[in-house]
Formats: sequence, structure tokens, C-alpha cells
Amino acid sequence: MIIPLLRKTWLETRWLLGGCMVLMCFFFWLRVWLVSRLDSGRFQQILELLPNQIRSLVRVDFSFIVTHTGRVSIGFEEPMVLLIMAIWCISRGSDLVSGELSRGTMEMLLAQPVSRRRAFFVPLLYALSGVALLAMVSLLGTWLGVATIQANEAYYPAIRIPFVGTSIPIPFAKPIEMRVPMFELVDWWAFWPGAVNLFSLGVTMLGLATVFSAYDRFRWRAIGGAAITLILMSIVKVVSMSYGPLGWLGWFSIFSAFEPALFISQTSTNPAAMWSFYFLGKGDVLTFSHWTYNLLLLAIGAGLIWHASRVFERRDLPAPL
Amino acid sequence: MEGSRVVGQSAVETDDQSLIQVEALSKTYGSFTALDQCSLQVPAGEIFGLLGPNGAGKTTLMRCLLGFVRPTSGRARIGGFDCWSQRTEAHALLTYMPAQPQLPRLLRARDVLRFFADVRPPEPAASRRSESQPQGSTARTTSVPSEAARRFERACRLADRLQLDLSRWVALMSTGMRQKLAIAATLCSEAPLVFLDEPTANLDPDVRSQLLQELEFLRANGTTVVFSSHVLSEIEQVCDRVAVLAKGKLVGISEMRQLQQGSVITGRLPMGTTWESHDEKMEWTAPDRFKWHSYRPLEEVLPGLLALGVRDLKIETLGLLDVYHRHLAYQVSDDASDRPMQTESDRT
Repeated sequence: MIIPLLRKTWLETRWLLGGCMVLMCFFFWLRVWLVSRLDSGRFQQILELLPNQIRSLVRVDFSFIVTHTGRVSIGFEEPMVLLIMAIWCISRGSDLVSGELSRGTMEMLLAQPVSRRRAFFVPLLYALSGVALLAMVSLLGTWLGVATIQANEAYYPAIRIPFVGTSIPIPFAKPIEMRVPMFELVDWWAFWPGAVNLFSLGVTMLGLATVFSAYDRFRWRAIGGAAITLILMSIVKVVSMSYGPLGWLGWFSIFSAFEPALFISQTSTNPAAMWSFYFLGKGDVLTFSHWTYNLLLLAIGAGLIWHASRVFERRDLPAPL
Repeated sequence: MEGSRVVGQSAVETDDQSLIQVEALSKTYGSFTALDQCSLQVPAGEIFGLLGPNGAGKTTLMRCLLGFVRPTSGRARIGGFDCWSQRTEAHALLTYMPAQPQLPRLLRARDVLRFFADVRPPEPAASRRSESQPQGSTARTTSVPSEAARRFERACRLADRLQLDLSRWVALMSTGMRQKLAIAATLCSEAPLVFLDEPTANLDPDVRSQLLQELEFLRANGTTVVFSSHVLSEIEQVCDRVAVLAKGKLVGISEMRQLQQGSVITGRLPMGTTWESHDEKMEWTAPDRFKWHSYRPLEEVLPGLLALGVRDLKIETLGLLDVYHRHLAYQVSDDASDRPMQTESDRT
């Protein structure tokens, strides 16, 4: 009974899932390619030009961002990545109940000996698998980029000091452009905390969309509700980060727990952050690791999904219009 | 099937060996009452028709039975299972085609049939069935693949008879073709109970008659069918009994067999004549002119009338339309105490 439902969902959504996966993979490959075009020195110059207001929005150390790993990790926070994930989560989440109701396909499905719980959770399981696949594809795209792209790196000629074993670059000399494989500059596996954080955010977005879907009979309304909520939450996050007195607003945005670049930097620079829920960060301050934030997002997502399933199990199914 | 009687504004039947049992079922949406104290029973193997004007409560009744909406009061059971709290178990016993069936548009017709063939479990909750399990819902012990394959094969055969191209995408099908596909998907299961909500609405005459033949085939196999339609001739053709709903109330149940031997008799009788030999009441349209909806064979009725000196006798065959209009007329008059509605107990 589960396999036919999974097969039906797959047949209905394979093009959307395939499209999202291809787009996500290509975007991360492109991100690595863009990073390879600009050497670290020039990027640092650009960062130094940024006004303080913009700098306050970046929670990652600038010393990390100027590295190749840092610049690739910013890719996880790009609007395009969030958009692809949101498209998948909102489209699948909104389809679970209100989509089937507004199309009128729910009736014939639920007239079969399929419990509402099963009719809800099997497509949801598929949607969650899609979220996991998209997160994995972000890593795959990064790996593809790292494995296939060479970076332009400028090296200044240096004078080697005999007996001391060090070199002093000559600043007035013309830099030497060299092609360096990206895998020598970036370890693709360092980005897994970013992928996990993206997955966790996807689960929460999916949960949010399912709640709107479970209450409504019109899919467009569920999509609109979920999309507007996400946009408001992203605005709330920006406001809370850019204006100190309103920092508490951050608690009302799921995006406050979405900091993949920060988590990548923490795990890259501090091994203690890798597998624990908290660690001693800069200045020996107790800092929550990416696992804490991910668990928070997953808990919110699971709670929303549970609530949506309860609503769906108890509600009347209106006749299709 | 035993008799039924009129109680207040609902017809209540007294038989607990029925596949469908509805007891004082009501459904309200705010201040609007979609279904009001509806009670009926449908035994296994019967084709049961639901008639009524738009908004009469036919679809609400079906949706309550299917567990899509929670009754406000009363209860409905299918095969002993409560239609709301045990709906999954009840659904193992039934299949349903809505009035405007919508199927997954991004699938090919063949995939749709495969889905509906595969999605049913091999054993329809027979082991969990209650003691009062009616006939007509037999346990199945075959394995999943073989049974699913058999259902799929049956669906393909049915689709072939309905001249359906199974390689087409559902999104590219016309309304009628989608209806045919829904019929094949619905009837491919061997569920002992089939709900059909206006199944012939978008069908051409040939396919319509094919569907009615399928219903006859289902009847021969002992399948119970609940059939809602606005086309009286179809109801007359296939149904064993028909219930008429109006304004959410069940206003009457008629047995087609008795209906077929009934007649509308009009004529004149000498002033002061009373008709006491039968329970069926005459309507006096003038002091000496009567109109009588009789459900008895004419050979039983005519000798008595002739003995009373009837004149200007006119006899017409009683049709479903007459019964339908009578039930509705009594409902509109909204006076239950004066309602001379013909019920089964009256007739028997």
C-alpha cells in the first residue's frame, strides 16, 4: 500500500524533483567556479570596502570568508539555494492536503482503504527524501566543482633567505598567475555542516507548508500563506541582525537558526564544534554548535508536521468545487 | 429486508443484518442543516438509489458514509464499522466514484489503473470484522501481487470495453474519458460495496448503457451499489430501492418492484363512498373525483372499485417520477402529520 502511494507521488513530481536537483547541483558548481575566478587577495579588498551595516549582517569571521572554503560556504546562504529549497518544500507541503483537495483527487484516494495518516505521511516521507536529496546535491555540486575546476591564484615572487628557511614576497614585483586545482585549496567534505543545516531548514519549511495545507482547501492559499510567512521571517532576521535593540526578534524567525557558513567555519576551525552541542568559542565563550541549531529546526519542523497531521485526520473533507 | 415505518420526519427501518446502517444521521454546517435525522439500511446485494433535487443532502449522506465528513449526530456503519472512527476498515469494503472524478493529471491512464489496483490490501480487514458482519464481504486470502495483478487486468479489460486509450496522459483526456477511466479504476476492485455519485453525468449514450450493464453484472455478483443520479430512467432501470431526500431529510423509500406494479388510478365514485378495504389512501380532488396511487396489482384493486360503481376510470402506470414528485410535494407542504406518504409497511 505504501509502494503504490510512493510510486504515484514519484510519477507526479519527478520532473520537479529532477529540476530542483539539477539546478541546485549546477548552482553549487557555478559557485565554486565563481570562487575560482577571483583570487583571495582581490576578494579581501572587496570585503574591506563593505560598510559596517553590511558587515553586521555577516556572522562569520572575515578571515574565514576570504579563504576559498569560506567563499564557497557562503553559497549555502545564497537566495538561489533558499529559493530552490523553498520551491520544493512549499510545492510538496501545500500539495499534501490542500493540493489534493483543490484538484479533487483526494476523494478517490481516501475512498480506498488508505488511512488519512498514511495518505499524509507517505507523500510527506517522499517530500522529506527530496529535501535530503537536495541537501546532498548541494554537496555533490560542490564536489563536482572542486574536482573539475582550477583556480586562478596570484603568487608574488619571493626571495628565499638562505639558512633561515623562509621566503619574503617582493611587493613591487609583478604577481605570477598560476592555475591551481580547487581540490588543493578546498576540502569539499568541510561543507557537510552546511548541507545538514540546509536539510534542517528544509524540514522546517516543509512543516510550515503542511500546516497551511492541512487547514485549507485551496492550494494557492496554502502556497501564499507559507511563502508570505517565510518572507516575513527572512525580513525579521535581517531586522534583528542589523538593529541591536530588536535582536530579540530573531527568536521569531527560523532563519536565525540557518547559518551554514558560520557552522562550516566553526567545524573547520574548531574540531570541538564537530560532534558536540556546544563548545568554547572565541574568548572561551560557551557557544552552541550547529547540532543545537539543527535540532531546534528539526524539532520545529516535526512539531509542525505532527500538528498538520492531527488537523488533517480530524477535519471534514469538503466536496471539490 | 423487513419493513420500514415513518417516525417523525425520518424513515427508520428495522433490520440489523444490513451492509449499510444509518441511524438518525445529521450533519450541520453552522446554522445550515445539510442532513437531518436520516435513517436507513441497505442490505447486501441491493442496488440502492438516492434521489433528490440539488442540495437535498445526497452527496452529504454519501460523504458521511465514506468518512469524509464527521456527522454532527447519529451514526453510520458499513459492515459493522463506524464510518468515521473506523473509516479505514470500512473503506476496505467499498469503492467510490465521485460525481466529477478527478484523477492524478500527471499520470498516464495505465498508471492510474495500476495505482488503484495496487493500493488496496489483499485482505479487507476480514480478521478484524465484527460479529455482525453481513454477507457480501468475503475474506480474501490471496497474495498481494496476484490479487493486484488480477485487479489491474480487470481494469484494463473494462477500459478496453469503454474504448479508453491507456497510453494517454490524464491531463490530455476529455471529461468523458476521465469519467470512463474513473469507472474502470472504481470497478476494478471486488469491493462488496460500490458508491456511485452521478456516474453517467458526462458519458455518451453507448457508454452509459455499458455502465448500466456493468451494474447489472455487479448485482449478479452480489455487490451492493449505492447509486445517486438525477436521471430517473436509470434509477428505474437498475435500482432495487430508491430513497428520496429533500432539504436534508429522507422523505421516503420506495421499492422498485412494487413501483413497477403500481398505478395511478383516477375516476369518479358516487358521493359519500368511502374506501376502507385498504390502507392506501385516496386523494379526493373533488367531492366525487379521486386520484389514487396504488402499489397493488390491478387485478386486486379493480374488482373492489367496480363494485363501488366507479366511472370515468383512467389507469396510468406508476412511474418513479410520480413517486418522486409526491415525496417532494409532501416535503414542501412541511406537514408531517398529514403526510399520506406510502411506506413499505403501508404497502405490505
